[in-house]
Amino acid sequence: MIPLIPLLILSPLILLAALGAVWNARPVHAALLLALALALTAGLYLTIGADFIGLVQFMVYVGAVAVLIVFSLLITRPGDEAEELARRPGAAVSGLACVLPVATVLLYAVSHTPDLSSGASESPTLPLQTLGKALFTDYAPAVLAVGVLLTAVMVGAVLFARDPDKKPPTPPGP
Amino acid sequence: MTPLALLLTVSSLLFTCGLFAVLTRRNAILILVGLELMLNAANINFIAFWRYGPPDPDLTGPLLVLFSIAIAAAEAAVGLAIILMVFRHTRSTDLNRLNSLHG
Amino acid sequence: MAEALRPYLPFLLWWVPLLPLLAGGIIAFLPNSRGRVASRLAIGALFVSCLLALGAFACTLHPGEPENGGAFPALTWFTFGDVALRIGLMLDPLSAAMTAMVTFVALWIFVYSIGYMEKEERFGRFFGFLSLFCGAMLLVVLSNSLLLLFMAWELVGLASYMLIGFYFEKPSAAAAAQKAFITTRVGDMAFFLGMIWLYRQSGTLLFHDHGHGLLDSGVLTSLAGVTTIGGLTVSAGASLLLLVGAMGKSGQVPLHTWLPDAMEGPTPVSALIHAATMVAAGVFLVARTYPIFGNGGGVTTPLTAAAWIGGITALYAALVALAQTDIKRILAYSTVSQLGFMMVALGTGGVAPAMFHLIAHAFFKALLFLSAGSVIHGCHEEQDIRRMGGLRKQMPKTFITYAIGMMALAGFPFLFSGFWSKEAILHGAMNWSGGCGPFLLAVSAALLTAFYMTRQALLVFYGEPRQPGVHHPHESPSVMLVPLYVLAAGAVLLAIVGTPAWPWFEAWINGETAHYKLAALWKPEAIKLIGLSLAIVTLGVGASWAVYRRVATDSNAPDPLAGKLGGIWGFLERAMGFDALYEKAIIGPLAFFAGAIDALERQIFVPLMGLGESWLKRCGRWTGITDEAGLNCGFNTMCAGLQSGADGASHRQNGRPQGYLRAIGLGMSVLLILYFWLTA
Repeated sequence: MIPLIPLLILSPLILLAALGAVWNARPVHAALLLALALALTAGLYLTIGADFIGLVQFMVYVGAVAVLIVFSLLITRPGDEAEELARRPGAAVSGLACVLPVATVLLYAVSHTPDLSSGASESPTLPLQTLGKALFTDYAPAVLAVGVLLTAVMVGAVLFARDPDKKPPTPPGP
Repeated sequence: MTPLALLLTVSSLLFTCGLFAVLTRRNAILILVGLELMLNAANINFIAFWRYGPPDPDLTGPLLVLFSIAIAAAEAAVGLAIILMVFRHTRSTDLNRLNSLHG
Repeated sequence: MAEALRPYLPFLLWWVPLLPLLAGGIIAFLPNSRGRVASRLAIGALFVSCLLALGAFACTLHPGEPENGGAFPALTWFTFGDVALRIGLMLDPLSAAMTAMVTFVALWIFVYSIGYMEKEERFGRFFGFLSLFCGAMLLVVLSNSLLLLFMAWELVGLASYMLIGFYFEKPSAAAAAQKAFITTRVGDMAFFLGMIWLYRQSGTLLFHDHGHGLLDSGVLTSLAGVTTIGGLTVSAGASLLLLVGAMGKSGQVPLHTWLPDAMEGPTPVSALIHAATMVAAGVFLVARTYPIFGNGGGVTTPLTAAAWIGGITALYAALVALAQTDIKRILAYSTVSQLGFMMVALGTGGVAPAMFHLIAHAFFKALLFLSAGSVIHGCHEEQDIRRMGGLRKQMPKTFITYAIGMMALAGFPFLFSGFWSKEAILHGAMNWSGGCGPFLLAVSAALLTAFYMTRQALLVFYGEPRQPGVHHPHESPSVMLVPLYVLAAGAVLLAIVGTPAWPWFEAWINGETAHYKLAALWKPEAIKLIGLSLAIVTLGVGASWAVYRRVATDSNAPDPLAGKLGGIWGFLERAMGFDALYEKAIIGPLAFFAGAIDALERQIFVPLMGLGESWLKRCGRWTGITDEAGLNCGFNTMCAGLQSGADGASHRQNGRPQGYLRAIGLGMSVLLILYFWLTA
């Protein structure tokens, strides 16, 4: 029961933050609420025992993705009115109508999940050596592929984001 | 309620919230927000099963989550870059304006 | 040389009629602009044909009966069941004489036509028809088969129709052509019936067929053996039918009415067809089938009929010729009269005098027609003799040739073939055992012949010129004069072979040898006849001279004979009313009948057809409506439905991904619900 307490506290908070991120009309608020939800999720991982994952979550999601989202919001500066879901009841209703069946199905599946915990007395740990070894031996091709992907993404993002009118800088020469 | 069921419920509801955002929001960036929520929900699922499910000495759960996070980051970057390009052309991020691929 | 030709005769003889036929066929495909080519082709073909004919003639010159009657092996035309129809050619003196005459005279008339038809637009076409005619006529005279003869006979009639109606833009010419064809058709019907009767009785249509032909003794006796209606034998009955056919083609009364009208054709046509050759075909037919006519010996019914019909025709035509004023019409009636003479000869004297007169007549009648053509040409297409006169001085060469022809026809003594041929006919008629009727008719006709020919000569060539207007007549070019000279020479020279002193022609026709015996002229019988002929000629010419000598000054003055004869003159001028009679008795009812059928057609059949037509149209309209409203509509509605459905479906694709995602989400959840429900 006691290990569940952090879970019980964090779960609703995560959901509330997520709801806020979804419902809030002001984009920046929504983005920041997303960051909050992600951070809380990272905390969740930490309390469970997936320390490394929690830290990675924090660094990448909160530190990079959420920041990226905020930056793009700063660049594009959208207005608030369009997002007011109270003003667009039709959209809200139809969105709900599409989402509820999905929710039903998922919850149904959850409720029918058997108890899979085996007779393991200890909670699993996340030894970093095992993780590292697995990454660079069994999953080495996957890691390399992800590396290539990230390189491609970086190049692509740079290409997309540059100013098309500006000439490339000439290298200094004699 | 077992911890597993709790975590799974949380992840389901988180997924639903993310889906709602994707289906309802007008701003493309806020749709991306919903997308991140959905991916996050899937990650919680994996961790929950690793922690409260059958023993997993190969650590497939966390490993998958690792990759998922990395790819989510990459995809967010590309997506935002595209949105910025479109914003340059159309001066707006309203997704309803981008409907030239209609039937 | 003739002997060298003999082995090739069976092959060469076919080319005599074939060459002109082929020339005619080729000319049919030439355009009108190639007139010169056509005329050269026609004359070339006929020239070769003439050479072959003369060669063939030479082959028949040795005396004696030719084997198989001169017939060459016959070809099978077609078979039905086990019966075969065969056709072939034959070469006996009769056909040799006719072939030589036809090719020779036709050749010179062709040459004449080059000058006469010079300004004609359809110059080439004219020669094509003439070639066709020549080929057909040669087939008639050379044929060994009655069937082939009949077919060629019809072809000759066709060529005649096309040539009479050559100036088809003139309604009178078109009507004359039709009249000629239909009148001869009546005769042809009888010919056909006679032919079928003979075939049925004897089983063959060949004249000579190694003893089994129609003219071979075996068949002849069988034909004489069977008697039919009226006590006539088959040979007599069939001969009478053939005689009717000959009457149609040779213009005997009452089937003569087409000949004068046939003068609507160009003058060379009148010369060749309606004087020398085609009209002689009837006489030739009787001559060819003479054994059938005379079957049974002596004076048979068909021969009697021929003699009387010929006599009546000769006198009738001579009377009508007296009152005619068109230069060609006088000659036309003269032809009818002379054909009557030939029929009398056949009936009373046999084949020889008739054929001799036929050949002599061909020469001098063609000569007369061509001279008349020369006169017409020179007088700028004037044909009324009342408007001619004094041409003796203006067209001397034409006058000389015309005079030779006229003297031959009238029977001027001694020098001219006509005298001797007529004398032979009168000789036969006088000695006929069937009575003296034909003889008297012939004598009267001969008298009148001399009379009207002199009349024509006086009115055309003597006296003062009576032509209206200032156009002076001119002499014809030599291309037209040379044929006249040749024919004139023929008209004179033929006399040599027909005198009793040396009856070469008669002997040759009958397959005997002739002996020159000048003493034959002094036999009492010969003297009697020569004296009679002389008397006839003198009387005729003298009377005519007396009446017409002073006339020739005023073209509008009535004919002096008209005054003397009064009403009869008009009767004669209208050819004794034959045309009017036929018009009332035959054409009238036919026209009424035709009108009745036309009314039937118009009032009954056409409205019926109209009803059927309107019903069909209605059905068609209804089918169209069902198609439009039902099928098309249904189909269209279906298509429209598909289209609107597709339209609607495509509107779902509004380019907004959120809509798509909603659909995906809903769809996915539905599928999962189904999955859980089905597997639970």
